[in-house]
Amino acid sequence: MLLVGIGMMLMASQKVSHEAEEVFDAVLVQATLVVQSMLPDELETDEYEEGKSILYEIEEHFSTTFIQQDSTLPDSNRFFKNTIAIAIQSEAGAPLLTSQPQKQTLPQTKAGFSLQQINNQTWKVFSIFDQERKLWISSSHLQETRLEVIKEVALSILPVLALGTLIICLALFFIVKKGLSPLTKISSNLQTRQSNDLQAIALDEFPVELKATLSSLNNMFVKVSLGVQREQGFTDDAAHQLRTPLAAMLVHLDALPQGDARAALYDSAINMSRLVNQLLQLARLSPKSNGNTSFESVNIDQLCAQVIAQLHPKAQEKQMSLALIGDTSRNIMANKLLLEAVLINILDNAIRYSSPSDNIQMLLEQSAKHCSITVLDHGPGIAVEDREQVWERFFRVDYNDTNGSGLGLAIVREIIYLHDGQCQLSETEDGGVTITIQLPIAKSLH
Amino acid sequence: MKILLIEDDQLLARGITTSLKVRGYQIDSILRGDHGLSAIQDLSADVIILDLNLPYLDGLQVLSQARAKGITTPVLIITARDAIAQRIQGLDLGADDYLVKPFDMDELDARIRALYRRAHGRCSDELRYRELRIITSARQVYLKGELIELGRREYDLLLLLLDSKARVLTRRQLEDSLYEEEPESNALEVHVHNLRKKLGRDLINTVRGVGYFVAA
Repeated sequence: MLLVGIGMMLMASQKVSHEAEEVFDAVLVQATLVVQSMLPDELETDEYEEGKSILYEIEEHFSTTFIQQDSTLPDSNRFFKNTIAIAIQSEAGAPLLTSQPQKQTLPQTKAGFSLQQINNQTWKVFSIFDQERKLWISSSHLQETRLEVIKEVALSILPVLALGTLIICLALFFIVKKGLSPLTKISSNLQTRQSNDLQAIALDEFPVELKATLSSLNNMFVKVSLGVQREQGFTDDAAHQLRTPLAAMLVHLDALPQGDARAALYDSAINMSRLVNQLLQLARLSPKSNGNTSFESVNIDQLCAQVIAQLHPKAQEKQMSLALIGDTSRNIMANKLLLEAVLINILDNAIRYSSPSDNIQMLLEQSAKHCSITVLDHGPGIAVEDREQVWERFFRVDYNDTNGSGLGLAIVREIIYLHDGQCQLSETEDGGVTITIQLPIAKSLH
Repeated sequence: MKILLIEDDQLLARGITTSLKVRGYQIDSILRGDHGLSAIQDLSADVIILDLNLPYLDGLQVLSQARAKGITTPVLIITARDAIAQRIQGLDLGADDYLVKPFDMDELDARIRALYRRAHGRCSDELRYRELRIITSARQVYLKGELIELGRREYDLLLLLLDSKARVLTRRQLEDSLYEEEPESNALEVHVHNLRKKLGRDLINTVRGVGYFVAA
């Protein structure tokens, strides 16, 4: 905007200089023509003195005086006198009549406009050749004065233009800003909302022009959220539908005679059960807009104890010991079923991937605003380069491992994020995996 | 022990029937909700295993109508749904326990036994565990044939742990069962300490910070 303004100012002053130049040129032409028309048919030598006085008059008439007032210095008015000099020369260029006696050198005889050096000064000269009298008639301006005047004229318009440009720029800025404010509001609405919040934008506070766009946007929200709901409904239904045949499988396996085949089948069925449970947990991690995720006051200490008690038989099979160390002695706002799933997933991983007779610990700590649950094992651990990826869906540290689904930690992370908490994986001091989750004690309301 | 199974999935029903028969139960299997309700009234089962998703009459309705008719037989719900709201609804309507599919037959067996014990008292008056012999009617505990004097809470605690062998009972669970009011913070530890002194160090195992269990 400012650049355009400056450009405009430059163009305007250029134009003004050009126009002023033309005006001065026109004066030269006019003066020359007037002289020509006033010349008698035959120019006698004794008429020169009379002619001279006529030339003076003409010069006086065509010379322009500029007075410029300098507002900062009241008594220093500047005068520019753009004096015109007229000369009449013979066909060969000999001076016949000149208005300026001090001008010893006369302009070269050359028709039209030209710039000439006369007495170390640059003059703008206009000459014509009078065919009848065989005479050169020329008028000239001192170029230096001309340029000075043109410059003054051009500069005098700049402050006005600059002020105008500034005012227009400011006005445009505020008008555009005001015009765009509804868009800013929409964009901040979209930016601040949760990624899974698909609620419609209220239309009342927006101008009519935007309502069409906004209602299309709202329609899209509705479609997307219906799609998401359908997908979740499907996962939920599918997982539930899978549970009954799985139950039948396990029950029938029980009747089979003991052996390797039965053990393998049993393990597969158990893995499948886990996968189905994890799919259900994922489905349950629905957007808050569905209102499915209800938060209640949960006693973390008791929940941890309960989960350890639940998984203890599994740990016993591998001669591992489990321990719960420390306490938070307070409740936090959480979804109990989801938080339970988090703890089961983490502890189950520790039990499955750690070496037999390991000592797995769950540590509870609390600060003013958070409580943290740390589960540490002393198993093979996870390579540094894999530590970020373990939180991704279907990532497995060892793809030969047929036990894992690669969903466990991805679910953990999603649930923890839903609780505005954080989770991280690090290395246990003497080797192994340490997983820490941190939950805010007071759940912020969205 | 007579079991009534109301489950519409034929494969699952047949599997449960076979397994429970092997474990010495008598079992009747019904596939429809409405038939199940009449069977509850006609057959005098000791424990009812009830699926929730049933044709013709929903499992929760079967349950509430049976309870409305004054039938108090213990009911174990088996279901594919595990949302807490449904769990609570089932228990509110008078179910005694809740098992989410898929489950282990050992788990189902253990739950049935627990329900039966709760409703009918112990199958037998005598309980044996390693070198212990307990006469439940007289609340007497013998170690290697020698009578051991136990406090009331000590005896109750021992029985709780023996009733759920190999399962860890959290401190909260034990305290809720043993005391009506919030006990002193270390009361439970004192009882465990006394039991160990009287019956042997390695009878009761500790899971640090969590609770206690006796090995299977």
